[in-house]
Amino acid sequence: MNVKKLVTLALLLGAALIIFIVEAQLPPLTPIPGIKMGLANIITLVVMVLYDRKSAFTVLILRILLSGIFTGQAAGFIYSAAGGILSFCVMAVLYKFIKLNSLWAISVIGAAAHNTGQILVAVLITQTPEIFYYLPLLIISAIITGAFTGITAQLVLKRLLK
Amino acid sequence: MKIKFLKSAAAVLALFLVGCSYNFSQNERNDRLIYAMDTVMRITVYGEDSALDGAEAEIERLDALLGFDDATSDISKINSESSYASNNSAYAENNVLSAPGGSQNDKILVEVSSDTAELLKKAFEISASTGGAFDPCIAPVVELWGFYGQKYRVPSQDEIDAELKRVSASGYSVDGNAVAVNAGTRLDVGGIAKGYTASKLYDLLKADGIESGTIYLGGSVTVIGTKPDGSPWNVGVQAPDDPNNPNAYVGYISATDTSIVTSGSYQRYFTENGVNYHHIIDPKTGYPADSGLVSVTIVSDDATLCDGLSTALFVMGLDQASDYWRSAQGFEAVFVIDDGSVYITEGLTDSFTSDRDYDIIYRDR
Amino acid sequence: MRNNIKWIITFAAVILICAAVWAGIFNYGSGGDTTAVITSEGKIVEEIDLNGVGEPYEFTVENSAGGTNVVRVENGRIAVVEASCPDKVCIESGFIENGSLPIVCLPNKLSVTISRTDKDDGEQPDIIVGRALK
Repeated sequence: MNVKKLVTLALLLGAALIIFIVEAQLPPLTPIPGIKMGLANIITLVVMVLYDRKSAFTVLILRILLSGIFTGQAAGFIYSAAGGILSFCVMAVLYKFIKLNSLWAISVIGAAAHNTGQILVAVLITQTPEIFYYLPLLIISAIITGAFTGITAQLVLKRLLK
Repeated sequence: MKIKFLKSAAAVLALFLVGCSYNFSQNERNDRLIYAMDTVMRITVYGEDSALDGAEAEIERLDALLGFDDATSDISKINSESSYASNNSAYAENNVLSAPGGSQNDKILVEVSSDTAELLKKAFEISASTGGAFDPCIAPVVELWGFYGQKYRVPSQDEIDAELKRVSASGYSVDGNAVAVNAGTRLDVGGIAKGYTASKLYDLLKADGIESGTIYLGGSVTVIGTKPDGSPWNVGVQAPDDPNNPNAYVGYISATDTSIVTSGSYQRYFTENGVNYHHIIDPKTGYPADSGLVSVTIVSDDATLCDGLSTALFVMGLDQASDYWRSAQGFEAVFVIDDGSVYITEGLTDSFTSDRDYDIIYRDR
Repeated sequence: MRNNIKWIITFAAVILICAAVWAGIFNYGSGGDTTAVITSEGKIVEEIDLNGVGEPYEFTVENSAGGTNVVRVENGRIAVVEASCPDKVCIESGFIENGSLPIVCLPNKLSVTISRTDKDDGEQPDIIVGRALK
């Protein structure tokens, strides 16, 4: 790939890392595990539209790995990794079918997938199916936060593509 | 006037609070989870938490004395001296003690602490009384099967025969703090140490004023007094057909100030070529005991006896164990057969409750 | 824009459904025996009949990585009051007293749930002897 792309992606990766780490420092919104805004997803969407899905996936994986190393939390790592990858797969598939105008919808569904992935891993690791009871709340939260990050991504792209 | 009133009010309040907190701490439940002797232990008392400090210290002390893997324990001391003696006849000669009755087996004498001596005395007694069905010298054979350190394997008949020669506590004795064993012997008191520890803890906690509590040491339970509400403790016996389900029990025993120990083939085993090999080795054959039993539960106020007999009676099998019980005193038992049927000894008739059918073994046939 | 309205309506509907389900879950579970089940790293480490609890007490659960959580048991309810994890979400969950929502500490792989056991005639044992040692 050309240097400009490489540099831009690196910058965006850095941005994603910063957003993720800052968000991780904030106190949890509710006592329910997994509810957070997922702001770093804005970057994933931006990269996906600006370049292609492969690049977005690369940035995502690197962000997950690096943030795991920087925040030093081996425990939380597997949850956010599972959520992040499942979420990306879902968004990557939808991307082909949904108009750019409705990018925010992709973000919403991706956020829902992210939270669902996290719950799945949590249930498997702790062997407690009761965690699934949190799913309705997490989906509502995903819709709200997904809409927020999605709209933000759309606005950012609007500016960038002008 | 106002100040005086406030002062006396404060004094009354203070007394009241002190009195209340004293009351609360009296009845408050305190637990301690301790990992020792290769198992998870949980001591629960209704009373001062400080009593648990004493209990924890006692567990650590006994673990240090009796541990098989611990190189500084009394047991290791006996094993290393006996091993040294078997390799050095000069040493053996200098430490030889003629066995009572002047038999040909020469023994060495090892000095140990009073607790170890007391435990070994009991171990040898139980071994003799059960005709060797329980034998603390079984360690070399257990090692062959790889149960130490979980390096499981099926040994050959020759290997077993070789080690079986070293297995026999017959003629062993304890005099004061000196233990007399054959050179080449290897002792492991794991099959009886937890029972011994439980009885020591029981004495300790009662002396500390605990009137209600439970001592859970892996496969054994000792209950202190009654539950706080005055009713007896209900101790369930794990159902061998559902061993990993903490809610599956064949029945429960209502007890106060008693120890209950279960030995079962499902507790520790490995599988090779589709065959299960469990950890209760028959000292006569060197193989996992194939007596038709899957679990034996002994109920007695002598915790050490419970522990030793649970192993011994498992090896004996239902018929021999029933005969043994008829001729002995001081304990009751629950047997679960490999076909799932349950037998209890007559003395448990009023204290055993179960949803399953069970048969009673009577003293007079 | 039409497309977007379609999405907005869809998501709003999903929100309503989830809210209804959540309300149902939240109110589900009342009465009956309440047994708290505490699992660490997928294995059950403790089971407590909450209805049989007299004075409140606390105990610590430690997992194989050294992570600790302190569980407080009171009559009819249970909570996590201290935890070594960074986010303390488990502590914020507060007390649970019925069978629906669990308390989880994902970093420490701990979960506290309440299962409703149907009360059968006769008592349940307080403690079971002879558990598998593996």
